[in-house]
Amino acid sequence: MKRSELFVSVVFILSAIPAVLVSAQTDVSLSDVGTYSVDARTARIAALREQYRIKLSDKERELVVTRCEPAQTSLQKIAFRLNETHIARTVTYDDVIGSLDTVRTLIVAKQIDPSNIELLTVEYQLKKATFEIAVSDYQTALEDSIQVDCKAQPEDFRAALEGVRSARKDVVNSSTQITELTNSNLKTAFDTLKLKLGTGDGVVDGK
Amino acid sequence: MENKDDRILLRNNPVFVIGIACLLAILMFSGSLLAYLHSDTKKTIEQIQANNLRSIETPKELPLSAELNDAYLDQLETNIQTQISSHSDETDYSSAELTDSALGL
Repeated sequence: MKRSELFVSVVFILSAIPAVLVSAQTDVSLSDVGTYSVDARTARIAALREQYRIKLSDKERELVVTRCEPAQTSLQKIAFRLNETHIARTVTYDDVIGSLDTVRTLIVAKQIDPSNIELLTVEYQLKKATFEIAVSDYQTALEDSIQVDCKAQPEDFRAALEGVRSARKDVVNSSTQITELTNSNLKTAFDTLKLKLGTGDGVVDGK
Repeated sequence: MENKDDRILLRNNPVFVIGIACLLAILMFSGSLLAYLHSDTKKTIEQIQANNLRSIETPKELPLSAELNDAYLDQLETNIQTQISSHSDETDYSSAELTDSALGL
């Protein structure tokens, strides 16, 4: 073999190494996850098809096939915005829980029974956890509706869309519960605390 | 004979050698970039940046007075209610944007 040919061969082999490494890395780290993810999505959508008894007429199928891609783009935008609102709300809820924790510290320093504030804090933590789960489910439902091959499987897309609508309702419900908790229990807990502060009632050490 | 001379001339040509070196560098850079874009490192960095953004975002001011009294509690209650009500479900999770007509179906 001529030297120049040998040199060119070495160059090509060297250039192929990174591509092989990328391929190998992807195969090792993500192949299994990808398969599981697709399997899980298929199972979720199959369950939704069963739950909502999705059956499309030929006309409906054609309508979905021709118009589903722009719909998926819109769903992608909703998913993006969901991430932003999720972060903003998480900050707010963490702030509230942190503030209640500060109040608890101040109550303990005054040797007053902090149980009502502790109860309120736990209620906020539980409602926040419910909200987090609902948002996570909503994100998954949106991801399913975006990833499904809507042209090949319009029924699956329809089912995924119903899943998105249902998941949105859960998010709104969990958010409403936090608002209701704020409107009712927060005021009650603070009023009780004010009473204790004024009268010295509930002092832990019995003074 | 003439062909052999050409090859020797080519090997001794610094422009040719530098060109090959540059080509090799570009290929390796492209490979590395591709590897980075496909790797989990990029996702990890994005996640860390998102988390940093979350933690850097300054929390809205809540009174943290050391004095626990009625005024403090009233102020805190108002602030919490304002913060919670600043998030609108209708704006954040509108059902209207998921209707068939809104999605163009």
